[in-house]
Amino acid sequence: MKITEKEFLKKVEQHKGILLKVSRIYCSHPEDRKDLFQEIILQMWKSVKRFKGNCQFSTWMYQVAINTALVFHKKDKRRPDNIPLATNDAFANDPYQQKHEKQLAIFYQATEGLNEVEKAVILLYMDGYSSDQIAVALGITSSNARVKVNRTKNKLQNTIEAQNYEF
Amino acid sequence: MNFDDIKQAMENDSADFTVPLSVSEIKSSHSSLRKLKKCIRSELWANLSMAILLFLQYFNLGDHELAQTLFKYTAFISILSLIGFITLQIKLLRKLTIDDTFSRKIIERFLIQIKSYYEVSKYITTGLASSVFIPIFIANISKHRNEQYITDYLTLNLSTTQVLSQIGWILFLSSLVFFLGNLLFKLYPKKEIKKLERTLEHF
Repeated sequence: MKITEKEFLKKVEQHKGILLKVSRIYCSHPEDRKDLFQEIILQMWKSVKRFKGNCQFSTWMYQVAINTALVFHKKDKRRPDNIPLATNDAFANDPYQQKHEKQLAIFYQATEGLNEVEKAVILLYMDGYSSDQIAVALGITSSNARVKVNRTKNKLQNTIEAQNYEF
Repeated sequence: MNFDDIKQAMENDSADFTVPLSVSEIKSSHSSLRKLKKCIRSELWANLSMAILLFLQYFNLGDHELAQTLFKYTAFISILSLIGFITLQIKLLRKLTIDDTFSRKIIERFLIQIKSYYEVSKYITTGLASSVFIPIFIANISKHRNEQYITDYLTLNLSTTQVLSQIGWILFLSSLVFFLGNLLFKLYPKKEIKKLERTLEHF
């Protein structure tokens, strides 16, 4: 695909939400998140010439973003595996915290316990990909994708419930 | 757990990140791939420096015509091998890009390319190092000795002890390069390769 840098960045701006979702689920630390966000843009720019337009730009962008995130290993290794989720008090004390924001924060914290592939699975699932589409995107079998979707959902549910949350 | 609610919240989520005005504004990141590419790039520069260093030895030869001829021959072979290896490195650097191929294949492809490169480079570097030492030896010997000595040296018209000590030196220096290369590999690229392998295991 022949595209100028300006046009490319304009397209990226239009679908920025994809990059935000991917970087947020893969990195909890804001610095790492920003780093991944930029890395995805860079990798996309490097491979945009090979984009043949077989699919929508946003779909292509999603695939490149996930692939970049999978090989992106963040610097911060001090974080323990099991971090307690944000306490109810933290949200109760802030009158401006909305229900959705709270759910989202709890959800992202729970995803920290997932491995890189599970994060990709849940991200695609949340975006409405079927098990077959997830299988194609990740390069695994459909049955494996189905198992992974269910297992990841259960894992998230258990993590959230273990912290006395329910939504 | 209601995933629809979360999905909605994800869509509405706003972050303070902005798309840069130019791709060149993007600085280096902690990506394993970028780190591995950086390693290969450093090796490439080391090889280029080695080639330049080798050329510079020519100016140490003085007026020894025989030494100059021999140096040109041996250096030509070493430079050709170095160029071959540098080409391999450049090709690999160009190949290591992320596209929209399915995720598992991308990681497998990276691992195969990087692991085979490092496996091959361990031995190529040793071979190159040994071949590079020969013109350097010639240059240094010719500086201090006469033409007869060089002829004797190259035709191995030396005592057995001298021949063995020369072979010993070359073997020692090559092994040193081999072990040094392995040590550097264990210090940096191996860690990144392990991370990629761990990710692959999760599929």
